[in-house]
Amino acid sequence: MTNTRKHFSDELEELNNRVEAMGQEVLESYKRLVIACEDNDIDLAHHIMDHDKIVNGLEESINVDAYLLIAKQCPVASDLRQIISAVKISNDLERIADYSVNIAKYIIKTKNDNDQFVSRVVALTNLFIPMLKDIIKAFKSRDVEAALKVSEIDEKIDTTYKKYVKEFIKLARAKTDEEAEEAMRVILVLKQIERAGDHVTNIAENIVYMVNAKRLELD
Amino acid sequence: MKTVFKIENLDLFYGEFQALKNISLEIEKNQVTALIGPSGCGKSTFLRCLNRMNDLIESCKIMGDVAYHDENVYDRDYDVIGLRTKVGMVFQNPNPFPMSIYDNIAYGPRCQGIKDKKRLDEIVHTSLEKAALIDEVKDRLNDSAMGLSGGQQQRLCIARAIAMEPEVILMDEPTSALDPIATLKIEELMNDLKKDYTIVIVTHSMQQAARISDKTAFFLMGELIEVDSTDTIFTQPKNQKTEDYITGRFG
Repeated sequence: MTNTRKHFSDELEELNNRVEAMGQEVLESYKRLVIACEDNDIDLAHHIMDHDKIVNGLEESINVDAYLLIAKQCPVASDLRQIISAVKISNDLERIADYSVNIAKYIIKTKNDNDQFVSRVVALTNLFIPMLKDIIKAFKSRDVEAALKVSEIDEKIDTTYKKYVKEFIKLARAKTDEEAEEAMRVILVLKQIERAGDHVTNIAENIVYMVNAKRLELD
Repeated sequence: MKTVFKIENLDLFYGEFQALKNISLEIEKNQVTALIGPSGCGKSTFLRCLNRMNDLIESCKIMGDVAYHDENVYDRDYDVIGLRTKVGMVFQNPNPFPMSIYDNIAYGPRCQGIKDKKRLDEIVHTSLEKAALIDEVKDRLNDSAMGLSGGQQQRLCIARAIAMEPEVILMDEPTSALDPIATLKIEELMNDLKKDYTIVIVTHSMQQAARISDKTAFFLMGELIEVDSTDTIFTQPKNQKTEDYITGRFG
């Protein structure tokens, strides 16, 4: 059967491509974050903050186009689910990008001369990066199984996060006020990555909804 | 954006009844302009002014300017035949001539004096191709056009209009007699055709206007209530009457 709505299909595909492109931009930010943290590279941290404008612009354009497609094309069934999912996923990606900005701000504000701090932030970010990469791939290939698999990484991130928090609480008790404050800040930074992981599981839920209309709640 | 038609202060009367009231509107090149509004709002009457199809109605009186490339088509010595060659029309009900598919398309060019068989073959082929009908009829060009389905007949009428190499194609509810799939095929076609032609379409279906047009004009009781980009009309119309109509609150 020929596609009688080729123009609409093309517009939908374009919308999906933009969601994927947005994912890649966010992924880049996290890769840069690792380098900025390890090398205490303030310029790169500033770059991550500036880069957020691109991500925000993409989210805005996805929202506007989705809104127009709904108003003008009266989408139903899988078409409608794709558009709703594009809006929700781009919203999650925007939040994930915001967390990278918060971490970049931390890099800029603090001295980062404590190896333990740096290594923990880098370690948790390095756990998160493959998770984000996998979900972008799962979105592109509409792979529900692969999407659900990210929850395994999320569990790992949660466990690691809790372990690190305990470490830093201990540090905060034992050392000077200054170091205690620093330890608290690191906990807040680690929390950003833990939250980013939660947003990736939201994306996984949306991929499932987009593909087979099932609503799931991943832990 | 190049303006093809510039309509200014157009009033139209059928006898004592004023069907169009002070309409000013511009039709842009290579765009699809949709005219929407409830029955009797004047949208078809307006469309028919663009190639002077209202001339045949005796009681019809027109005032104001309908400028096609800066020339008022209602000027006394305006070349109406030339206008209708450049501004083709497709009607609500498909109206193929009772002759072969080939002859339907070749009819207009032949009337214009084209006799060369090769040239006519070329025109027929290109027109059917542009109307997205060629694949369905290429093996039966000599069959009667009356044997085609409604949707195919309507695309044949579009091909027939294209054969005259028009600049503008006016469409008066071109899909209201067609089933949903045939309708979508015509809509897809319009999206493709706007690369080469300027299209003005009257439609009862707001969704159709939303799907295919670049610009939408909303008519109500002979007045042009609002005209804007289709994106704007269907997401943030400025006039409450437009909002009420497109959201189905009246009509």
